[in-house]
Amino acid sequence: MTRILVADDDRDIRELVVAKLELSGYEVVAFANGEAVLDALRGGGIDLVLLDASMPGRGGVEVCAAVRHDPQFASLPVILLSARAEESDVEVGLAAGATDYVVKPFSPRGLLERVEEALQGAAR
Amino acid sequence: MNGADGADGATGGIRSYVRRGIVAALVAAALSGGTGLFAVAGISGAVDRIVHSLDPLQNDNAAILQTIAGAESSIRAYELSSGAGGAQFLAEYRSGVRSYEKEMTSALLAAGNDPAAESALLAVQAQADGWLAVASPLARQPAMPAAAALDAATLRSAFSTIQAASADAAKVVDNEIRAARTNADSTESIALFVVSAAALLTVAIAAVIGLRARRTLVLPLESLVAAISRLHGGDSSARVDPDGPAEVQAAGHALNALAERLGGDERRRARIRALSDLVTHDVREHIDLADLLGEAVAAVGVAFDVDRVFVRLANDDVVDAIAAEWHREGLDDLGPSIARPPGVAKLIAEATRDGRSLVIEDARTDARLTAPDITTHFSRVDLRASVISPIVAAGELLGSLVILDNSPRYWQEDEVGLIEVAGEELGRAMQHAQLFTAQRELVAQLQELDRSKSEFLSTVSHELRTPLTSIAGYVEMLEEEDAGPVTEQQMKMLEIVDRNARRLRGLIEDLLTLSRIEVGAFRVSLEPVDVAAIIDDVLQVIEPTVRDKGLTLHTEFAEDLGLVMADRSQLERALLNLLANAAKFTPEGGAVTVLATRDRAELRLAVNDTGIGIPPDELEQLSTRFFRASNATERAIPGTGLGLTIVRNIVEHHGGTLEIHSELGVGTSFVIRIPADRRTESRGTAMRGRSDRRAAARSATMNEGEGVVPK
Repeated sequence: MTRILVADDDRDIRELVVAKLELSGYEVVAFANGEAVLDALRGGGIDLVLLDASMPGRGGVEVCAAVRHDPQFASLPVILLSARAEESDVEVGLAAGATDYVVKPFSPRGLLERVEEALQGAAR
Repeated sequence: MNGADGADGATGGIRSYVRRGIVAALVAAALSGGTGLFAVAGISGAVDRIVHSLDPLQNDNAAILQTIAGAESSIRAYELSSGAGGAQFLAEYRSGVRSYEKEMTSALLAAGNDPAAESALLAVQAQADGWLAVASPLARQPAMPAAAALDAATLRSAFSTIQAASADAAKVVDNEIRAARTNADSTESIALFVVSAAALLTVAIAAVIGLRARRTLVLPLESLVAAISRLHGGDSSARVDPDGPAEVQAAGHALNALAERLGGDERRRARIRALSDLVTHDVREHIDLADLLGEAVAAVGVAFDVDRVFVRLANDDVVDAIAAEWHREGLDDLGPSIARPPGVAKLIAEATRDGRSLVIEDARTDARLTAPDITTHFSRVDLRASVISPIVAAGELLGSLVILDNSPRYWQEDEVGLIEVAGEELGRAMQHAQLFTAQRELVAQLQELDRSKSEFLSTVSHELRTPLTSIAGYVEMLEEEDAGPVTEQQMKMLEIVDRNARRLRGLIEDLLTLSRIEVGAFRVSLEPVDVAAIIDDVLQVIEPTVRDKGLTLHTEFAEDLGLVMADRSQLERALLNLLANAAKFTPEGGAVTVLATRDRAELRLAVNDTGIGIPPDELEQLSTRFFRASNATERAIPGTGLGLTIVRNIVEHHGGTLEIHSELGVGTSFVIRIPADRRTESRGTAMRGRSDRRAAARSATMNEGEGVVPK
């Protein structure tokens, strides 16, 4: 089963994403911050990562950069979720190595499509 | 004019100079004349001697010989004669002897100064005497023809000795004549040489005199004339370097003194001009009070040539702290803390009450200034002469302008007047500066306020997006029955929540866009986009709204609108905004029409409605942020007044224009024109692929059908 890691400090959004993904048949591991993400990834078995770009402490952009820094995660799909939609914000996210950048507010259905897209891209 | 010449020329006046010139000219003339005279005299002496003594001597000598020859032939004829004929020959002989004696006397006279000629003549005379000693006895006896042959031989031999002596004498005189001629010739060539030399010398002296005259007289005069014409032309800096004869030097000094006076007047005028420039222009330019006062005290100090100028500012009607001060070089600052003792303050307040100045010419003799605290204070600030003018603006005492001199000074009336004018202008300028400072602070505050407002707007918009994500997200999941079946009633309610969530989202996007526009961060990224596709997308979004409101929607556009360089999401947003507006302001039963045309130069998108229209006097303001037409607010039609601001901004970022035509109660037409170059179509395909990823990221929010879309 495909496993997805979700990290967002906003509980409601985290639960929304988790619920939508689980209903769609994915196994989800959720975190309320970015600190433990890298360790969890090293634990293995994660197929895709959804990160809130601006969490307190280690934000999603920073975590994304750290993930990409590790060669074993070079092709792991990472999607950033952000309330910041300025072009410069998107640039920063993509520059940190994100596979995709989804701006809040997003529709759960729309997010699911982007997740599937990213998984297909990684499988190809 | 160099120093050596100057010193040389400075030794005398024109008179002595002319005298020296005349003397030099006379010497030259005497030299050439004298040598000439000498030469002429020498030559004429020689000629004279030849003409008057040597030539006649020669003639006399020849004549003597001839006369004696005649006498000899007469006496010989007498001796041979007989009868009466003998007497005639005797008479001829006697006449010949007398002639000889006369000629000899004349010749001796002519040779008087010439010893050689005289001795030669005397030799002739001695021989002639010998001949006479033979001839005379013959004349005294009767003719004796028998003895004639013998006597004739004796006479002839005596005559030949005379002939020899005469030839000697002729030779001597000839030599004399030759010598005299040679002498005259050499005198002539010497004289010629001397006269030529004298003439050259005269010319040289004349040249020297001329050059000296030029150097010592003409050049100083020329520079004098040049300086005068410069002065005449208004250049009061013209001066001469006094030089040349005493009179010219004196004229130079006088001219310099005159120029000095003219320059002094000019400086004074310049001072007044500078001061008036200062008060009317410079001072007003300074908006910073400290700069203004600093500039003013320095200008006044320099203009009036005083020791010290400062401005005291009034606080609560007490003129006290020194706000700006200027002093002549070499003096010390008083510093801001020298306070006026009450006596001085009272004196000045009373003297300047009606706006006049307190004028002090000599503090030590001024009867008003005898109180001890006044004299102490004035000696502390080293005040001897002073003008103290109140600085008043709009009836309010702002301070005082204080001018000090360390020595007594008679203040001219116009000076005091000028200082008072300076005080008045300073007052006005200070008032301006204060107003300006206040205004500048206000502007800075407003700018800060505006900046923090933009920041606030941006923060709030971002913060609003997070909860909105939850609201819209859960509503969507509920509607899709992700959490189980939903009743029809519940579905209706969820749709209402969903619609309002979208509306809220549109508002947030508008606010964000506005804050981007305001901080200058609004950007469009142009790429080739399919115009027809944009219109289709927007129509799909707006269609339910139009239908629900009972409006008809018409579209008129060619299928081949092609590609234009545009920011797809922004252009969609602009069009959607216009359509939403049209729907909002058109009453039930009305029509909304979308027209799209394209020509070589531009794409034209028009949205026409049959709505309430816009009051003509409000058309201008329509694209101003937060502006709402009065008829919209009267009818309580909801809106933020941001839509058109954003549309205009988007269009303008595409290099296009937004036109608005409206008639109250008839309808409104919005026309977007953006440049459309047919060439973009060929570039289209290549560019599309490259920007795919970013376009996808950005349109994640857009393809949900956002915008201000009231349903």
